[in-house]
Amino acid sequence: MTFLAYGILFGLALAAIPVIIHLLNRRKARVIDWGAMRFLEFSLATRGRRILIEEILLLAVRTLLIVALVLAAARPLLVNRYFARGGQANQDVVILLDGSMSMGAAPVVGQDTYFEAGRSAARRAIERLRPGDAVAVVLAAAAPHPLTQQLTYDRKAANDALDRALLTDGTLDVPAALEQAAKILAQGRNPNKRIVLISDGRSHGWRVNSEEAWQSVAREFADAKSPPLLTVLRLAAHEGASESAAESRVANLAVEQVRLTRPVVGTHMPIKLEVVVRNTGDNECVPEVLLALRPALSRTPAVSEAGSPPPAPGKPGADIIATAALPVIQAHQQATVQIETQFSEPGPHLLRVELTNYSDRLDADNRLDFAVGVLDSLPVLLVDGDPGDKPENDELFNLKAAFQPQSEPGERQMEFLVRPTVIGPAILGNTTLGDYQAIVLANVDRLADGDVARLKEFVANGGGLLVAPGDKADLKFYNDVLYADGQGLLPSALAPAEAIRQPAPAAAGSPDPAAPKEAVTLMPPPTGHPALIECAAATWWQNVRENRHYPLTAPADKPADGRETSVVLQLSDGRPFALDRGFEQGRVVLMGGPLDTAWSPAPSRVVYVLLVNELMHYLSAARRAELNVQPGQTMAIPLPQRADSATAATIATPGGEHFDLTRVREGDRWVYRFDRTLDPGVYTVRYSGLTDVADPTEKLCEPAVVHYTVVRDAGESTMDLLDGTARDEIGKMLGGAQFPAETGEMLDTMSDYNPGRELWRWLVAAAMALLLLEILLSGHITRSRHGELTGGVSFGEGVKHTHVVR
Amino acid sequence: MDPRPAYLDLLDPMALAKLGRLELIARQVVEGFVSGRHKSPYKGFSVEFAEHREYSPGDDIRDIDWRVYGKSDRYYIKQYEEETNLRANILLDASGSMAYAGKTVSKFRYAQMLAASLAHLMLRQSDAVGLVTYDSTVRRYIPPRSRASHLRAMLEEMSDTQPGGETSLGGIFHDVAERIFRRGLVVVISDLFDDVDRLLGGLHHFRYKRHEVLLIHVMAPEELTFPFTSWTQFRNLERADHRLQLDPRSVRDQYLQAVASFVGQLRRETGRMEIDYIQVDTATPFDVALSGYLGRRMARKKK
Repeated sequence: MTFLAYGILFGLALAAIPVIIHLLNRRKARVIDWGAMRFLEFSLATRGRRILIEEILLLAVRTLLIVALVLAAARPLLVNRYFARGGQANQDVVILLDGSMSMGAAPVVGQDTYFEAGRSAARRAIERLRPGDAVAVVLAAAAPHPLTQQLTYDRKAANDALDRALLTDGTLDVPAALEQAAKILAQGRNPNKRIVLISDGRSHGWRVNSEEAWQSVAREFADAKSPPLLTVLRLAAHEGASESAAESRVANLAVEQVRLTRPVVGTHMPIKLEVVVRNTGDNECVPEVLLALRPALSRTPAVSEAGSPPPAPGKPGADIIATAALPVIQAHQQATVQIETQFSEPGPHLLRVELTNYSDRLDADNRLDFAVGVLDSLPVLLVDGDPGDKPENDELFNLKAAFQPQSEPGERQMEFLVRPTVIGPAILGNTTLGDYQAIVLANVDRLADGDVARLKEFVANGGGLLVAPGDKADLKFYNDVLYADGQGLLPSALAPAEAIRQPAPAAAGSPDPAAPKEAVTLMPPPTGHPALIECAAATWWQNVRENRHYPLTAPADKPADGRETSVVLQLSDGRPFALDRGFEQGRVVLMGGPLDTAWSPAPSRVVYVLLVNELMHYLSAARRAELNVQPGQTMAIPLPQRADSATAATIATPGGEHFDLTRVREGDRWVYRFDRTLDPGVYTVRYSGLTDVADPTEKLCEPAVVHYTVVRDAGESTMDLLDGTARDEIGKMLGGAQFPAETGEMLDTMSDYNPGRELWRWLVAAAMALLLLEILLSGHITRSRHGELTGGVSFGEGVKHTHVVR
Repeated sequence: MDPRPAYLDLLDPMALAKLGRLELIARQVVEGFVSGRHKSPYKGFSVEFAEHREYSPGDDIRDIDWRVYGKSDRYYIKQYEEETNLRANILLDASGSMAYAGKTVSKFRYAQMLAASLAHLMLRQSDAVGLVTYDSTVRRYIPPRSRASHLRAMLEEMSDTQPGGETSLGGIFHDVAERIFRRGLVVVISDLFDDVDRLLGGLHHFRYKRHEVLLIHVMAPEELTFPFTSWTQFRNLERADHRLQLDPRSVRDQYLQAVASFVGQLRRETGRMEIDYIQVDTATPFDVALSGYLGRRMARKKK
């Protein structure tokens, strides 16, 4: 036997109340000095035993009365199917309606989707419930969304909740949904518990390989006072939806992933999008499918301020930015297609890649939304350690030229993204480092202690740092302070500068025997580096010699502190020339030489321009907001520059929920953090109270509405169904599960489950009987003790002494 | 300091004024030397006039002095000294149970005042009065005297006596009966909480010695009604280690039956022994109770 409300059993302590009252009465007895004791003793001798029996009987009846009431309130359940036979115990039911993206498919083209069929099945399940049964409806997706706040007896409320259910782009997480359902059932009062999962039967959401998740569910079920029974209706075998062999063998293309080939996107900067398309079906895809890039939402006007109507969804075929032809993809294969484009307007853009001229049973995965932040400029602080006496002798002469390329007369003025600001080391302390995305230390000899600390804080908060020591560099400072045995900013210590031997020219006489036979040049490492994607071609690096350098220490394979160091550039003899290492949230690149031509002719080459620009893009990437996050990853939404103390922000989820955002301090800046990101799709952040500015570019860069996306789980596009073995395993783990083939069978199983019989009615009846007995008994005792005396004591001159007790 | 002695508190002037007109007349022949109000076996003694007193209803009209009436047109009664030689002994119960008070004065206090008033009354009639205080034993015995100053000695003794100790009436009565040689009046003032048979045996001993016995049974109203309703611990006033804790309502019926049976048996047996048995409860003013008894007694004598 078990109890449905264990906590109430503490009320059994109340059974002590009659005994306590009895004892208190004895303790509170008034004391009387009495003379006529002989008569009292006589009375006790004749009535004492009867009094004792009456007292014990009354005490027992009162105690049992309380015990019976408390036990009835605790709702004991006799878990025995023999005793439960014929019982009418009510049940609590949680209906889990699969809201994953795959439910948007239709079993047969032209018929309802799985989601609509599931909604109908859930309605029929609600209709089948008996009076006294309670029901809750939960939309099961990447995160379970209770559509009713709790179990309800109101059928209309449950049906209204079903009407509100919206399909998501997320993945079904069955273990999470079952845990949520078990928690809801634990709040219910009925003895029988049931979970009904209505799904399309795709195996992906069941997470059959996640043993930990299922053990957690099994524990939740086992810990329940009345373990729930799981019933799973697989809609794939839905009645009326015949699945012919031909229909089941279809191609299903899914836009799985979109990657930008460069970390920073600027206006008018050509970029490539790598789009991964997978065929999850059993047939090859039909040819002549196009991949189109267009805005996910029409942006009219271009700047949408708070309070303006929400942008309408883009229409198919309209506003197409670029297209690419999709190759034929075999079943269960994927293809990566590149789309080239560029943006004319700065600011955040929400884009959609979709398959055109194509439709399959699951259209929801034929497109993918993603957000791109397009920069107007990239502010970089250049710290010049050797300005020189002439411009051409300036340490930054080549660097500044690389950031501001000169166009030939008659050509369109080229625009690079980087906006450099040059200062000397002495005024570094007076500069607000937070205004810049990256900082370059060019041949700086040393820095003040305070400047080092501020530099560390800047990098720790996501800033990028490029260090290029030259002949002015104080090695002791670099090694002791900036490297600090690996605990500082630099990824490597600097060895004393040494010359690089190059082969002597053929006309220069006898060759130096120690000199290498081939020129020692700079080159990317064989494994490549993310910062060199645009300039990795070998032809760029031909004959980029180095004559002198600070030898750097090659990175350890497995650093003890977990801060991995990677090689950005190396010499052709294998020695590292530029190293990259993360420092908290930021990154630091250390070069083995200066950025001017003093030690190498490289800064005068074309590849130098590409290199330094790409390095700036790479180093500044960590400081910018990530607009596309993984499910469950926390969004860190930076406050716009136009925000002030009155600015507020809200976020709307793909499911239509709205949340107010609270700003938190993160390093040297304020951000809004949002962590309810399990559901894939577009999240819309709306700012209110932004300060107005006249500059339209600034409005474009920081609009009042910004879109973020949570990327979709590619597995949701797979068509594999949960097999019988997995069903058996799950049933065994949960102590039994039913997999009815159709809705009618599911409804029948809902009626025949009755694991036990509730005893509270019997206990209430017993309590009533005890109450009646108590009334009769106490009445009898009262009458015998409190009644008016009819035969009082006659004493004195004819006086009859009586005393009436009322 | 109060100049009035404490023992005088036992004499209530108002009560005495009422009782003053009701003389205690021995109902039986008593052994004495003065003839008068009491029937004395010793005849021939002269009677000495003492004073006149205004007539009041109840006085014998034969005692009216008609000469005075002729002169003053008012009725006066002639009173005489040394009218009798009645010897009375007052047995005052000072056992612990007499200390019970309830909502009235304690039984002992009530008995003290009764005894004092009776003593005063009898001494004023020139009867000889003695006092015995006792509990389980005789505490003090003051032999009867008829001197007016004897009252003070008796009152002081009564005033100094505190109730305590157990009751053993039967033994005490036998003891006292053996001490009193001359026939006379024995006044017992007690709650009579003792074994009935032993009690009656002691009384019978007095009657055997031809004493007239006046048995004044004093009880408190609470002892006759047992009005307690909540859990109560009853501590025995006579035995310090004896106590009973109970719900009074559960035994009330039996208790009252026991008291009624006790009182009824006393009434029957004392009537059989021709003992004057007076029941008084402490809520009744003692002068009312006593004057009623004395009035009936005088009426019986005149018949």
